[in-house]
Amino acid sequence: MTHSDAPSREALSRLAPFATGHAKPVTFLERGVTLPFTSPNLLGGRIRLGERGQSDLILANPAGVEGAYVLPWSALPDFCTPTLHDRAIWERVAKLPKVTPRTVREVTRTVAREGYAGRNAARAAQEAERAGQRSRVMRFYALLAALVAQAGLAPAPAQESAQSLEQRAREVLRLRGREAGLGLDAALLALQQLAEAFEFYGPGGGALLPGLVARIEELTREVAAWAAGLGEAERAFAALLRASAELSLTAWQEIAAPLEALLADVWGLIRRWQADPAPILNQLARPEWLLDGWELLLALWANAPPARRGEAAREMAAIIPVTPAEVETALAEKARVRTEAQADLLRFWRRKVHAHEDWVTGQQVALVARNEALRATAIGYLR
Amino acid sequence: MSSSPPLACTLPQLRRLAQAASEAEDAALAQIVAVLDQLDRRGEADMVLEKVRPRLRALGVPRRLNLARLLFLPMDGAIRSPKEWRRGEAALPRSALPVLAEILLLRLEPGAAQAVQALEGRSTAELEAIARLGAVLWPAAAAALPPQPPPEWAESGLGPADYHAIAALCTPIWQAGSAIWAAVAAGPLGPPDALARAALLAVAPAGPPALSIVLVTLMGAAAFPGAVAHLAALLNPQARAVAVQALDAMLAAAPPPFAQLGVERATDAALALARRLDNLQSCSLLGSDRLRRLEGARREAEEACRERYLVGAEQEVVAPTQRLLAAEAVCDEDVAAVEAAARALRGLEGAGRKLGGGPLLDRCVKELVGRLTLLGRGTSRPGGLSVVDIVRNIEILSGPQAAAAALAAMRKG
Repeated sequence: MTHSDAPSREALSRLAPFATGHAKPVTFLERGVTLPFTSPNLLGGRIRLGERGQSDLILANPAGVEGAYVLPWSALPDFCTPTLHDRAIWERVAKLPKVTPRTVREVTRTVAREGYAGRNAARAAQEAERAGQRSRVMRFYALLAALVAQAGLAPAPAQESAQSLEQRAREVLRLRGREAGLGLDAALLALQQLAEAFEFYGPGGGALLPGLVARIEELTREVAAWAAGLGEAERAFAALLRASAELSLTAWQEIAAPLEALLADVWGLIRRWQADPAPILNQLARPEWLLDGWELLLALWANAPPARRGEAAREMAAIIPVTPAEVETALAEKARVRTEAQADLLRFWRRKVHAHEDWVTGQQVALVARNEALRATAIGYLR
Repeated sequence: MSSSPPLACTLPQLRRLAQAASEAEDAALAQIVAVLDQLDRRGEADMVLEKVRPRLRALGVPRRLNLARLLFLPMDGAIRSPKEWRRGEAALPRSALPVLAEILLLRLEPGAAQAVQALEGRSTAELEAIARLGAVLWPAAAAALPPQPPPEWAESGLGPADYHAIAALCTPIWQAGSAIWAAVAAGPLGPPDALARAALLAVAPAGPPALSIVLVTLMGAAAFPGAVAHLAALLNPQARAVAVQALDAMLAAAPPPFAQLGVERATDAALALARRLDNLQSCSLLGSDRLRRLEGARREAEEACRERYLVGAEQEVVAPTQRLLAAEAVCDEDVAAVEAAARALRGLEGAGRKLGGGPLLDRCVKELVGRLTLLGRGTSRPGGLSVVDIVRNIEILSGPQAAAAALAAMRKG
């Protein structure tokens, strides 16, 4: 966004030394975490921990051809002039002790809240923060309700007050704690921490990740309906999106089942958390890793006017989340077949459609504005 | 076609209306024109439009399609106001057009009269309809034009000799109307050589004046006028002289009225002009003297464009920023409006660079950034305009590096 607005061809030539032949990560860690950049050249970029503790920046090939670019994190300003918003993200994410979808989301939301992506994104970030607080309270009471229900106490009155629920839960915790040698305060603290840890998953209604899954399913249906009356390229994109979504959603079911099992025994969950929260946190992080990046695809589609959905499809295809190989080993044979289908479709799409086509056709400033609008929309998907 | 009476306004009223039209915003002007276009006979009301014609051309406002307008589209570039028109010139006085249309309306064969009915409700934006209806009406007009001036001609205020001269220009052009229109309509694409050559060849046998009218019209609509002039020059030695004259006229033409256009329209006009000037620069018909004139035209356009940028920056970014800074609280929509204005200005600045105004624009942008940075110092009212709001405008106008420097300066201040 300088006077020498970097055209994409120039950016591509600077990226050339960092090209990798294929982009099939083995693990989620290797795939990295999506960053909500607003600079057109950085859209869909990811961060991952590289060698010797240095982070890498991964960029999809914007021309839509196979492969990706892997740059040292420090090289970002040499390759393009990032927006102030992106520079703030670049500086702050580099300081994170651990790069996960959750830690990255916290940092990037702070940047958005400060207004660097415009007032709409700032409002969305503020609202997301408020919604997060409400959600944690809801999770806490949902855990209390589950604890009480699992203890086999008398059924709650139809409209039980929070105070009454809390009292009954305290009773359960006192009884169970006496047997296990766990004080009430410690148990309540554990429950509060669990409510925070389960913020995005559940229990209780309105959890964010199940909501995101529903949106992904809806997206595949919408794209399929859009592509049905169009050409081969559009139908190929719809098939690619469906294959990718199905893979993620199958993995989601695999990951969600053990989490549900954890929630089926809240007292057991408290004890496990007391003993060591790390395994539970790791388990809860998996769906976040799995669904990372989809909110950008959803926002691209939602914000594209009907006449420009073909362009949106091209951008989405370039940044569609590639499922790492670790999912293949974790999933059944059926999903493995889907992984192969996804790879085939991705290759087909990239070979068949728009390879080497100039990716940025609009004005840089207008694209930044568009990406800022995407930012506001995407924040809304996770609140 | 129904015939409406001339607009009944007094002269002072018309003058006020003309003034209002010249000061109206782009959209309002389009509305005023649409109202006037509803009149088949505008009479004195034409003076309302006279002042704003260059702006209307730059805005590309679609006009109501009637017989007169359709008939003279293939000659659009050579229509003059009665005051500017000179006898013997390869041009048409505007006052003759409605009279000729009235004369023809009474004499067209029945098939063509049906085509006139089909013009109702259409506009000049409907290129295909013009091609289809023109294919009927242009040759029909050529066939129906009486050899001697009919009594109605007196309404034009022109003499019988003028009628013969004008009829001699119009007849061959109408006969070649479809070929000419095909090239004119494809003007934004060049036009392609084959279409331009076909149009020029179709009218060239009628002699230099008719060729001149068509060439000027084609070049006026063309993205690449130099290429069109070059094609004309290749037809024959007389045509070469016509082409050089057309180039001279183009080099002498005033730049688009940037000052009277909204920022986005001014940007479009500047980009189109830059492309046309670049094309003219590579035209082999331009010797060193004409190239110097071309540079002069470029400079003049760049200055006008830069002036528009400065006015836009003052009115649409600096002044609203000052106003918002003074406000107790600002709403997101107000901030977004200033950002939108800054984006539009950034587009105009880019277009101005294509006209060759790089270093001077750099200075303008730097000064603008300096002013906004000063405004942003000490900004900390909760609920009011924030430092980041101002810095974002600087980022839009001048890029992230300037914005980072401004942010540091504001926080220091």
